[in-house]
Amino acid sequence: MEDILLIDDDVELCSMLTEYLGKNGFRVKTAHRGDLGLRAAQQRPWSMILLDVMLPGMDGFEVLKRIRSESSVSVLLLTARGEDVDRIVGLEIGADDYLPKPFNPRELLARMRAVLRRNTSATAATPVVLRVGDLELDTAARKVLRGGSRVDLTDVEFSLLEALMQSPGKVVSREDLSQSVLGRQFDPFDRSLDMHVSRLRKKLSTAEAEESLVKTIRGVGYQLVLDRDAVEMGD
Amino acid sequence: MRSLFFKIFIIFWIAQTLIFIISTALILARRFPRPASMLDPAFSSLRAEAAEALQAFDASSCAGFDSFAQQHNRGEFALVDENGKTICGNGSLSVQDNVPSTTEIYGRQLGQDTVWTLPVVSAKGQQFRFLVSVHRERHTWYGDLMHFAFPQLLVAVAVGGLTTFVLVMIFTRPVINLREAARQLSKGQLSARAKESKKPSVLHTDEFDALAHDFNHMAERLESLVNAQKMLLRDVSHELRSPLARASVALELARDDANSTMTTHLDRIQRETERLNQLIGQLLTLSSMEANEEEIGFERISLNNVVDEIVSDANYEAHQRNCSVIFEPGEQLEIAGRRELIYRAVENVVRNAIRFTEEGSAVEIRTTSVQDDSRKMASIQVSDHGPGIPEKEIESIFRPFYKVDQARSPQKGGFGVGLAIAERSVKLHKGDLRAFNRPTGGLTIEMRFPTG
Repeated sequence: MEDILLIDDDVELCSMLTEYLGKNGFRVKTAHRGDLGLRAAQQRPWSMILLDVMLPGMDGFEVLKRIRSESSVSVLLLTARGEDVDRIVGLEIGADDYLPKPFNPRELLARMRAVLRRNTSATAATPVVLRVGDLELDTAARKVLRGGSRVDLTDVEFSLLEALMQSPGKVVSREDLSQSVLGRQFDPFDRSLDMHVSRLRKKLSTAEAEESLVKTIRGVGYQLVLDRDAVEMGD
Repeated sequence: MRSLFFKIFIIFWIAQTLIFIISTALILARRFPRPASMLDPAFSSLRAEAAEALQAFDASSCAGFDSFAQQHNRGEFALVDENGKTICGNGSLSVQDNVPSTTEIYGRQLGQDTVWTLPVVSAKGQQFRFLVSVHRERHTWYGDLMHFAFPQLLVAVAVGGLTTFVLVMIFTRPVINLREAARQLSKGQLSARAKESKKPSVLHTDEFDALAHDFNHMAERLESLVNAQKMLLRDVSHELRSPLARASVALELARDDANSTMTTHLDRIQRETERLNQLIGQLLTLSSMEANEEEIGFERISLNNVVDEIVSDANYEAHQRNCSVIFEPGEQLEIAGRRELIYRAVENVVRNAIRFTEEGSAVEIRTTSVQDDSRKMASIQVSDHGPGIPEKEIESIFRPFYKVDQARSPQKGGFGVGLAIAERSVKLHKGDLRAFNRPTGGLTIEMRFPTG
């Protein structure tokens, strides 16, 4: 049983989702206010947090910001359909994924499983330590080191880096990344991947290295740059 | 001469000038003196002249007379004796034979001149006749008018022109101002207002100010009504999301307890729920576009690439109706815009075409560059082989929820929002959208985006 925290002010929806997710192997706790939700999130570790954006007490983005300041727990943001800004802001703050409301519950289930799979697949598979340049990624401990110092990544960022490090110096297409990291088909209007990449870039950047480790290949995908020569060879 | 400005200007200007000319003519006609009243003073001056001339003659005979003639330079002078023989002065002036010497003053016409003859007596008692020829200018009526009216005419033309200009400006400026506002309003810029005079006091407002004020009042009302309608649409869509979200979850819960007959019913409910969800999505897209006027996130987009992407998706949909989508790319066209919006616009138009084209036919997409009022535009034409649209309804198809002849195409699907989204998106990119029936049958929708 996975422990899920659902923060949404729609009480009726919460009770139905609790039942639905319960049938599918999740134990759901609910909170109907932003501030209460944040307290619940801080009290104990959760497998995942489902967070609505529009909340009384405290805005969903604020809740997400506070959660992110102390934990890298998976957060799936429930945005309002038609509010494109919400999903962009949400991903920028550090949501793992988003789902526009109203959603098909089966879609929600699929997204949740995709997010959780990222957590579990790494630990279940044979533990591997990937090394590229001064980057070190430990799939078992879910730990990333850059130049010996620890980098805190969310699950999505971790999976993204893992996928890129598995084929260093090569271009990984957006379609493949979307499938392996987000667990869904690539959608040209979906900026999630770009958002995650830009957050990953920020976290990986150090004072010495001005050049970004993750290079965008316009219209194709992303590439983990080995060093300067590799970039030129790649072009 | 077509504008109101010139009509009023010319009419008033001519009127003012004519008033001046006619009144001058009338004054002239009144003031023109009668012959008798004019002759009396003329005769006495002639007599004085004659006496003066004779004095000069008495003093130093003909030399004196000639010096008199030189002093009075207004004509020819002569002195003739009783027999008609010229004593002094101009010999060509002669006395007419049959005129008795007793006649006091006698004048006769000689070409353009008038020759006056006066009897005079010298100090020695000699009888002479004094002749003077006065050059007479020919006066025509228009000459007189010009002579009397000339300097004032310029003043009349200038002052009349100036005052008329001011008058016309007073008339036409508010009209032009109002027209500009009305035109913007009709283009859909509901925030357009006519400029009102800054002083709202009763003394300073004329009818035009009042008209502008009323116009603005009307525009405000229009704007608030349209906005209220849009807000309502948006709010309703927003509010529908929560119950729809609950319904979707309830549906899934019901599925778990359902037997096979129930499942078919639930499938149907799910289909309708999804349609409702789609509609809400489209409505929210539309209203977010209505709210968005600024060019945020514009990038350079290759139109052919966008169409390529759409064609591969659309072909999948078309094959289900045994149709196909054919894309004939023209030159590479780059436009500035938001990729998602451009994509949605083209996609909605193509989808619409697929929906209405005959089974087994093809939807054709063509991209070209066209010149439009000195702007270079990128044009996408999407043509179907469907029934077309009645000419009088062709403007309405871009209205939300508009459906042509609902009885004839009940199974076509769609909400009638797609083309409204397309139109909104095209307008956001300052482009044009129009639909026309082809003579060979079928409808073509053309979208034009400014290039560069």
